[in-house]
Amino acid sequence: MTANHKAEELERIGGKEAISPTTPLPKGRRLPAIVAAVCGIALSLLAFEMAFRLLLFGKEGRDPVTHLPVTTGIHRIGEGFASSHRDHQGVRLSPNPCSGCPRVLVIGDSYTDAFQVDDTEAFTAVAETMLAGAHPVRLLNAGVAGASPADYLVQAARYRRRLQPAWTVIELNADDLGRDAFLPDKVHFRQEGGRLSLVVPAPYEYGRITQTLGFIREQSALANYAIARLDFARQGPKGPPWFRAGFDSGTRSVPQASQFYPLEHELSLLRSAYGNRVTFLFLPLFNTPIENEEIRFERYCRETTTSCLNFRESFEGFQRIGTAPYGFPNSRFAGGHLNTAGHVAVARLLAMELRRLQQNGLF
Amino acid sequence: MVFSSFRFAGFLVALLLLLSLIRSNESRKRALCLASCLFYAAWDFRYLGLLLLISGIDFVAAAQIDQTELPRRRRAWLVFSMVTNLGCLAYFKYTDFFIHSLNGVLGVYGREIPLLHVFLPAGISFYTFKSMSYTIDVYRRELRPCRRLFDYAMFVSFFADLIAGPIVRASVFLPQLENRVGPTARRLQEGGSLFVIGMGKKLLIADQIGPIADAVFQNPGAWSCGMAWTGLIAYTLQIYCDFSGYSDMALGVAQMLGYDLPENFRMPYLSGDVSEFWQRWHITLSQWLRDYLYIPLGGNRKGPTRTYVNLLLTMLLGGLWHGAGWNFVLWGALHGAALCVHRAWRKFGLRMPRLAGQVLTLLFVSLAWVPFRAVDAAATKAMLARLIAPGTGGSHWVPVTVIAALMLVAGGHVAGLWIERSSTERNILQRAFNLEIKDHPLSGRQLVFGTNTIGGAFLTTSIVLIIALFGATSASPFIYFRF
Repeated sequence: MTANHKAEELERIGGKEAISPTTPLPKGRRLPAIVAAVCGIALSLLAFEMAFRLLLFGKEGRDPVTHLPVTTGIHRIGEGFASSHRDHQGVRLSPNPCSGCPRVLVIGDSYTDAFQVDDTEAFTAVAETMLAGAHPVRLLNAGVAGASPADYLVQAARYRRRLQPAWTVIELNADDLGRDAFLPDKVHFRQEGGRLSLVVPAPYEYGRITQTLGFIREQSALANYAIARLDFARQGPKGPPWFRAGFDSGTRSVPQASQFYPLEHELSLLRSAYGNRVTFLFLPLFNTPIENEEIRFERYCRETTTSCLNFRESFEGFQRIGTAPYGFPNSRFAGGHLNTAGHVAVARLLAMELRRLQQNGLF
Repeated sequence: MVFSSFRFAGFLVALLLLLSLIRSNESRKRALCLASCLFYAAWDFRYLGLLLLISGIDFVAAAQIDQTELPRRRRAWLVFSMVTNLGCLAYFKYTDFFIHSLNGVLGVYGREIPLLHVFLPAGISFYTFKSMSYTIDVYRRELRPCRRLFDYAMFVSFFADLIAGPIVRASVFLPQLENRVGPTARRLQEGGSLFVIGMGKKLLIADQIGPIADAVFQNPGAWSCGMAWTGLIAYTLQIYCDFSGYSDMALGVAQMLGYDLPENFRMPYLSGDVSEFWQRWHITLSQWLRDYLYIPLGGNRKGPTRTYVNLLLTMLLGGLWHGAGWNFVLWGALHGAALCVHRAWRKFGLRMPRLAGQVLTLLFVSLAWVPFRAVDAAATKAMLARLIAPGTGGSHWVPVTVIAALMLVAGGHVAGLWIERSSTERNILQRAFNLEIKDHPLSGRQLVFGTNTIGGAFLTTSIVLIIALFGATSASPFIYFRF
């Protein structure tokens, strides 16, 4: 077809459309078509709502003190494929809980709550199984995504009263001790003249729109996911800003990393809050150089003879066989959260340490 | 303003509302031209002047070519237009590349010219080619020159195809400006359907597997042979879904606004040979190169040797058009060589079963993406070394995202073949889901979603929800934006 023919053809289409822009339905069929459209849309929404309710089968709420979201049951499909169940106290269910055994509380952030792996695969459950013979222990996994040392500190009294642990394992990483513990919009630390104080923000006073959105989120799993996703998209990388040259990938606003965080002070506060019966479990990133925070953590452990574990010592094994402790087939390699192999490796470290502590009569 | 961003959605809705309120065709065109300038300024306001300057120069050059019958004068104006367009392209896109290459030679004598770090204006490769086609067509007397500068500026700056094509020719677009076409219900439905399909390709496939391809190409030596192949498959799918997704969205946006753009992709990975691949991949660029480079060079009219030289030269320059780097030249050379081999193969009367041809073509095209994606020769070498060295260690992983993307693309191709072979008469399935297959003189065959039946409304809503809920959340730029 030549260019002229094309132009003629377009002219013809254009002229035709100018007279009859749409193909209107006959009068008698308009209402049934509208009803059909509404029914189709409703059916689709209903199907998605049901699917999302199947994924989020537990109760979703907020921790009364830290305001962090806590979910009692969820099927995770975005990173790993797994189902998590929690009891009313927020403790992850264990396949074979040992009753009457010493109770070890395990607190941490999303690496501990481990939504990405099944209940039987979380490092707490694996370690419990490893210790089941000679040194049985009940490991209470109370990890909460987004938590930081400031949250662990504010929850200490409540945890000790309610769960009565004989020992506590606190999972940490470099960001936990630094940036995350000082984020002003949640429970955080404040440095004042060399002193470290804890700031617990007042309960949120929701506006009318937020209240309405909150109500909708409670009623509909689909709306809940969509609103959360919208928020995530809003925070994520954006296109170039209006009237500015070039492309700006955009990043989340975070406090300056150059700040010198008082890690040693934080660790000491945590130790004393949990009655000096604490093991710190440090989870560094895979295939990255050792950060300053990690060096300081190691030094603190040595100088105070605190029970400490550093997951880095397991990395060599992963490197040797060309796999990684983090990342899932549906996420990314060596990034994100601990995968099943990672949980087993952490469990092995933890079980060895708990066995040693038990043999030394510490609990 | 990326097509898959919230900001663009707001921009498009506002523009459609505005255009539907305007009755006069002239005012509508002016509004659209201003909106296009705004769109471009949102990318980069500094080079809006360059875009308008090129439009102005080519408008004047074409008018002058048309006004005179003196061959020398006509040629002089054409040369002026070409020098302006190619000069701008060479300066903004290739200056640093040439300096860098020259430094490679000067380095032997211990000298170096500092790089200028020239900023690449968005879409310059596309709009200069668009504009050049206009003056050449007027020079060849294949097109009457545009009478109004505003109309011409509207053609060059039309935002739907401005940043990453398709490369629309003036002979296709300018006649549409004469008709009183605007956003109508049917056009919204047709354009919207195409836009949604393009958005799905971009957000559900390209942006999801992009990080896997990035990770592998970033450091090929760290990965196992299997992972290198996975990364290559991921990039092969990513570049197709990203670019054809963008083209679908561009065509869809233009249709919604009342204009038609030419088809740019026709399931290229099903091609039986390299020549067919270039008739299905980035069709508007292949046709541009054919009509304005290959044929003027002599095409296949000057003997076999010259034909092969012309093919190679066209593809080398086509490769260089994609980016200022030797890796793009290598990519072009590979495709040029493949076209020569294919031509010789046909000349000797050799044949191959279509399926074998399809597999071989896909394998060649995929491997040719290695230099295209790798940042330099060393990275290309490292990636190729990994691809051909099984059992030499390295990290391994099974990214199901790539498998899911592969299945989606395969499903899409099955649907595409069904659409290609189906009659436009509606069958039971089409009626139940209120689907329409439409033959379009420019944009090719396309699927139109409807909501007049329960099935249709269910399907349309579900597709939109799947993209909205499971697509990538970040509005990452399209790969071809950097060209």
